[in-house]
Amino acid sequence: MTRREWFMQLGAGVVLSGWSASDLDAAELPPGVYEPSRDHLSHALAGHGLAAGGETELAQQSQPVFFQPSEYGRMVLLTALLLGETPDAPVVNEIAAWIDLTVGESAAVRKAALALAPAHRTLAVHYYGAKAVQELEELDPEAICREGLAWFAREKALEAISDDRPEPHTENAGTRFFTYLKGRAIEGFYTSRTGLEELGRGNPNFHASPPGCGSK
Amino acid sequence: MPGKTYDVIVVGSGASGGWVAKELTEKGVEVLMLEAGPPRVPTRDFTEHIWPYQLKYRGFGNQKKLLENQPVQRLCYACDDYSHQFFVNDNDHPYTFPADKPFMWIRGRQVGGKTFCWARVSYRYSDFEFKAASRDGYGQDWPFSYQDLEPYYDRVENFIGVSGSAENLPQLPDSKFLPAMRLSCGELAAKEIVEKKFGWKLIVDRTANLTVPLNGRPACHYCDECQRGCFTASYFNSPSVTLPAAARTGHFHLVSDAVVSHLVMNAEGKADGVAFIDRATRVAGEIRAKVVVLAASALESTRILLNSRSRRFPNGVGGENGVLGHYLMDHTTLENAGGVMPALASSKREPVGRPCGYIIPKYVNASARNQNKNFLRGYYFAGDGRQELYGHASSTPGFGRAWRDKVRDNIPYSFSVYAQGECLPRHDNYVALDPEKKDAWGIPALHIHASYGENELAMAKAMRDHLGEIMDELKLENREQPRDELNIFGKNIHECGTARMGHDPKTSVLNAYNQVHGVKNVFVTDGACFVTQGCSEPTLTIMAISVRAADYIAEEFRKGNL
Repeated sequence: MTRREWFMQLGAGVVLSGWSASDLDAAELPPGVYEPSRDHLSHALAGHGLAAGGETELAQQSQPVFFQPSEYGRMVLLTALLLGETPDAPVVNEIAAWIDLTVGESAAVRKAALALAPAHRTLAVHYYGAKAVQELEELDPEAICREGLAWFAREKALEAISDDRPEPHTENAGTRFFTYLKGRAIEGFYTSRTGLEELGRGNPNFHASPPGCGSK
Repeated sequence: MPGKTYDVIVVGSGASGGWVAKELTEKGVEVLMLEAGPPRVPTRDFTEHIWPYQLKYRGFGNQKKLLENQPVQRLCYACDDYSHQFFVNDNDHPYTFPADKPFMWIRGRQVGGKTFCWARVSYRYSDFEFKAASRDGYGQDWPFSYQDLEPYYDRVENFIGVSGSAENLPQLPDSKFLPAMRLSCGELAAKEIVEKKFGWKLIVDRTANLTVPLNGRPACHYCDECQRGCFTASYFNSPSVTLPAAARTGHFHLVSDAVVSHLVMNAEGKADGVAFIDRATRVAGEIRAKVVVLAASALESTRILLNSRSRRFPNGVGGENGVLGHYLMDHTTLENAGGVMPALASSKREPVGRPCGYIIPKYVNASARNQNKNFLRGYYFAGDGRQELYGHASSTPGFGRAWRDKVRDNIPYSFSVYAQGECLPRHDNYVALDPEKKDAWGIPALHIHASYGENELAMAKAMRDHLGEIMDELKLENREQPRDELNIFGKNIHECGTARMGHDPKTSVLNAYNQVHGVKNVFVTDGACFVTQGCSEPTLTIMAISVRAADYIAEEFRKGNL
C-alpha cells in the first residue's frame, strides 16, 4: 500500500468517525502556537476551504463585472474555441469568468501601479525590469478586448489571428486580442480542476518517500 | 503582566526567539515573549492544500491589493495569493533608502515570524566563514570557531530535523542528517557532467524538512507548498516546533501584537525592560524583566537598539563606538539562468512534490584547484531540474483540443541554475533611524544605505562565466542567460550584520555570547550579530548561535551575574 493510499484510507476513516481538528486544538497552547495535526489529510481530501476570517480570498460565484451580456456571450464562445470545448462546458464558463474578472479589475490595477511611490516603483523596476513595469502601467485589457471583440464580430475567424496564423508578421486588433485572451485562458484553464487533471496533477500530491528520479 | 518583573523578555518569536525561549524555559527560567504581529491560526491561515480554483484569483493574487498594501513584499516569490498574510503591510512598516541604492526589506510579523515562509535550506557554516579574516586578511574573525559552535548545530539539528547527505566537504560541514531527499532526473544527469567536467559535487539540498518522523512530528508528505503553512509541522517553523516545547515547560508566556519600540534603561545603564505599543489599540506600555533578548530579525533588533536613546546612550544602546547599524550584508545572486534539457523531454509526468532543489557547494576560493585572485571569498550554485507544468503552453502555438494535447504530451524538461555569493561586510553599508519617517506606531523607521562593492562585482563576473560554462557543458537549449545585474540588496532575505559580535568592544557591538558590550543584561541573538556571511543561508547558524547564547544566559542568570 502506498502512503497515499494509506492516507486516503486514514482520511476516509477520520471523516467517517467524525474526528476533527478541534480534538487537538483543545491542547493548552498560546494563540499562534500549534501541535502537528493528524487530520490535515481529511481536511485536504475532503476539499475543505479555509475557515472564516482568513486574508486569502476564496473563489466566489459572480455576475460578469466587465463585459456586457452580449459581449460576454461572445467571450464564452471564444473561450470555448480556444479550449476546444463546447460553450456550455462548465470549465468554459469558469475560464470566461476568470477573463472577465481580470479585465474588469485591470483599470484599478493600472491605477494602483501608476500610484506606486517612487521608491516602490524603483524597486519594481530593479526586480522586474523597466519593460515589465511599463507594461503593467500601460496595458489596457479593456481596450484590447473591446477592439478585439469588434474585430472578431467582423471576421469571425480565430485562425487568422491565432499565434499559428499563416501570416505571422501581421499584427492588428485581432492578434493583440488573441494574445491577451490566450494568456488569460492558459492561466485559468491550467489552474482549473479540468486543466490540472489533464496535466496529471488533479489529485492531492502526497508521497510516502521523497519523489525523485525513478520514483513512482 | 503589569507590575510583574519577568526573568527574561524575548522580543520576537521566529527562528532565534523560539530557540532562546525553548532553551531558557527548559532550564527553569521564566520567559515572556513579545511578538509584534498577530497569531496565525492553521485552519484560517494555512493554504497548503487549497487548490488554485478555490481562490478568487486562482493563485495569481489580487494585484490591486498587493500593489496598494504590499508594494515591497509582493516582490518576494512567496508573497502570493496563498501566502501574502505572512508578510507585513508596507504602508504600516515603511523604510527609506537612497534612490540609487534600492533595498528590499521582506518582513513577516506574526507568531512565528518568517519561519512560515523560509525556504528551509540549512547549511552549517565552517571556519571558511568564522575565520575568514585570518584566511584572507579582510574584516574580522568571529569570536568563536566552528568547533565552538558544532555542538549547538548538533542540538538544533537533532531537534528540528535536517535532511541531507554527508559529503565530507570542509567548506560545508556535514550535519546530523535525516535521510536525504532524491535528485530529479535532470539533476542526476547534471550531476554526472558537473562532477566530471568541473570536479564539483552536485547534491540535493539540505533542508529542515522531515524525511522521517521526528519528535512527534510526522514525515513530510511532499505536497511541496511549505511556504503556505504546514498543518503537520513537517518542516521547521517556530510555532509548531520550538514554541510548543517552551509552552510545555509552564515557564513560557507569549504576548502577541506587542510592538516593541525601545529598551527601558535605568540609571546604572542596565535594561529594566522594554517599551511597547499595542498593535491594534496603539496603547503604549512597559514591561519589566531582569534580562532582555532581542530576536526580532536583524534589522528590527538593531532598530530597537538605535531607538533606545538616552543621555547615557545618545546613539542608542550599543551605539557608542559607531559600529551599531553598520556592516550590513545580504547575499549576492545572479539568477534566472537555465534552459531546456532536450534528452529529457517526455509525454509522461514524473512525480513531483520534493520541497527543495540541488546545490553545487562553494569551491571557488575554498579549494586549491579553484582559486580566483580577482576577488575575496566565494559562491555556490543552486537551482532545480523539473518538468514544466504548463509554462510551455504560451509558447505552444495554436488553440483548441489539438493545442491542449500538445501541451499535455510534449513536456519540456527545464533546468535552472543560479549563483549565490558572499557579500563582504563594509562599514558604508548601514542602517540608521530615519529623521522623519515613522511607522504606524510612531516608531522611527529605518533608513537603509546598502550597495554591492567592487568585490561583489568582480565575483559576479566570475559567477557569470561559470554559469555560462555549466550551461555549455549541460548543452541546455532555449537558454535564459543570467540577469545582467546582481539582485537587489535585501532580495535574498538573508540580511545580516548591523550589531556584529567580536572580542573587541571598540570594533563590535556584542561579545562572543551575544551580550551587548557594557550592558550585561541585553542580548541580540538574531542575524544582526553576524560578522561575515559566507554564501550559505544564515538561519541554521542563527539558531545554533541562539542556543549557545541561551546556555550562557541561563548560566549567568543562575549565578546572579545579569
